[in-house]
Amino acid sequence: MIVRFAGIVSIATAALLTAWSAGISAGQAPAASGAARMPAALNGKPAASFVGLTPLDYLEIRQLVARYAYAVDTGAENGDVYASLFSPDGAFADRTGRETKGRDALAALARRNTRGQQSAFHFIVNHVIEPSPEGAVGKQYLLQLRIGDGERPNDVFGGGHYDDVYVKTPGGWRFKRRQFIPSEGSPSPRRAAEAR
Amino acid sequence: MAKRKAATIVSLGLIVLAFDGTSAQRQTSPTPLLDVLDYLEIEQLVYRYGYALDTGADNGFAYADLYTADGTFTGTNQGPSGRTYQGRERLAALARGGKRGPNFVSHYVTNVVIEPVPGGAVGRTYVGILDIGNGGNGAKSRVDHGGLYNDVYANTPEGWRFKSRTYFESTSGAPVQPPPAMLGTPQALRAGAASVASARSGSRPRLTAEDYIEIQQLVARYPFALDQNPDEGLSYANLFTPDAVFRQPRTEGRQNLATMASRAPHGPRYTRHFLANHVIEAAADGAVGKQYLVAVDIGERGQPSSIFLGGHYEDVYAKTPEGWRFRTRTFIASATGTEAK
Repeated sequence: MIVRFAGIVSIATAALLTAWSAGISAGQAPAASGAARMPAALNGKPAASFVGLTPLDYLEIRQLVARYAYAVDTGAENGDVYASLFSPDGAFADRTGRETKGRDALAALARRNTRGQQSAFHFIVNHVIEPSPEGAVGKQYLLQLRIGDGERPNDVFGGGHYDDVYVKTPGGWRFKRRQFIPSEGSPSPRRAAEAR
Repeated sequence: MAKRKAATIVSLGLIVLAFDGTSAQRQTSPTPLLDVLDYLEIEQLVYRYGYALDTGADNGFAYADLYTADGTFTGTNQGPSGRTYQGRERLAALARGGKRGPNFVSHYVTNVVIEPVPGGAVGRTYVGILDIGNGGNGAKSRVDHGGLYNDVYANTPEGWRFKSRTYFESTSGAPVQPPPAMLGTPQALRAGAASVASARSGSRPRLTAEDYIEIQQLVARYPFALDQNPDEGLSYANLFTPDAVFRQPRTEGRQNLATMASRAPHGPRYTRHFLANHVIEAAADGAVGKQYLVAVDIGERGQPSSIFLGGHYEDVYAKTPEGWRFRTRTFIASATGTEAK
């Protein structure tokens, strides 16, 4: 059974959107454009001058990635929610680069990988987003926490990072390509005074 | 005379009808707009949750004050049918129990999905509840439990607050409780830009949506620069101002920062530093912020993974001609303690 937000809506207060936070307040947006100026290019390259992603683009892409976790963990709506996060020609690539492409194949992938309607396994953090000629690219870390998996003690199952290409479709931002790359290179346990 | 009166009544009736038509239309119109800052402010509320609960600051009232006056927290995992806490005192008491301390970290929140609804917003997040050993000691750390929060947010004169927050413990297989609301196809966010920026401006220092996003991006780049380090620490050092100070160990200036990063384990596919709960606040000459860190040694080829270190960073950010940079960044290991912050 799918419980929709409509049920929750009824208990939301009718707070007006005109009173604002004491903690955070807004400045005037730059007059020319709402686009964010990103930190200077890394790797010693000069700062890219202005490139066209707006704050809203960043938020939408972050929301897309946050939704990914729920879609893959629950396999909601027979995997259709997962498939809907990709553009029609979008693909998920595994660690070897092998791609799963197309709505049906992606939905099937989500059905195979689901851990249950009340499961949380994909903890996604450190989301970097950059504009690109076709739209945007991004990357995040994934921490897989195995919680409530039968009698097994809760633990860290694994982790790594995602490399993404995003495309803006009429329905919003979607994954054009998403690849998971498991972490490699963990040192043998050491207690060195490392950078933290 | 009588005719004129009748005519007046008729026209009044028409006005009423027209008005009703408008309001009905308004009610059935699609989801209301949140503006970009609403999304960012709700995220900030969600990120503050961990600090308030884990520190028990202000005798638990820092936690209670994240809720509306009638706000509720429900733990669906407490007892056979769950338990609900309402009221400032009861919520504060919740934040006084269990392991606490000014520098204790436990609730790592991520995957924040926010949707506008009439009158406010709803959302959900993941929470990993870790038991971090004293001093950040990885060997004594473990994944305690975790799962999902389903939230209803309300905008109050003091800012966005939890109207309700409901916790569902993660479990494989069939749901134990009625499952959290599922997500449908994502819609493009219908957010206004800075339509109400003037309503929020005041004499206090403030940050724009661009500032928040740039600072978030700066912090998100940090783990990649440190763990993958493609260029002998240059990417890492470039995240700091030229005169920046990192602690601990105390490291000053970009050259020393690059050297420090290069001595840390790294590789093109290496991931170790997982950050969560990024709180950002405007300050007189820039911004300050903090995040939770859990450093994890990810097992390879079937080897188990283990927590290496846990704690939080405290940052000062400076806006430079190149963009936002770390002016200072200090790591503070997790520790339990009794004194409230």
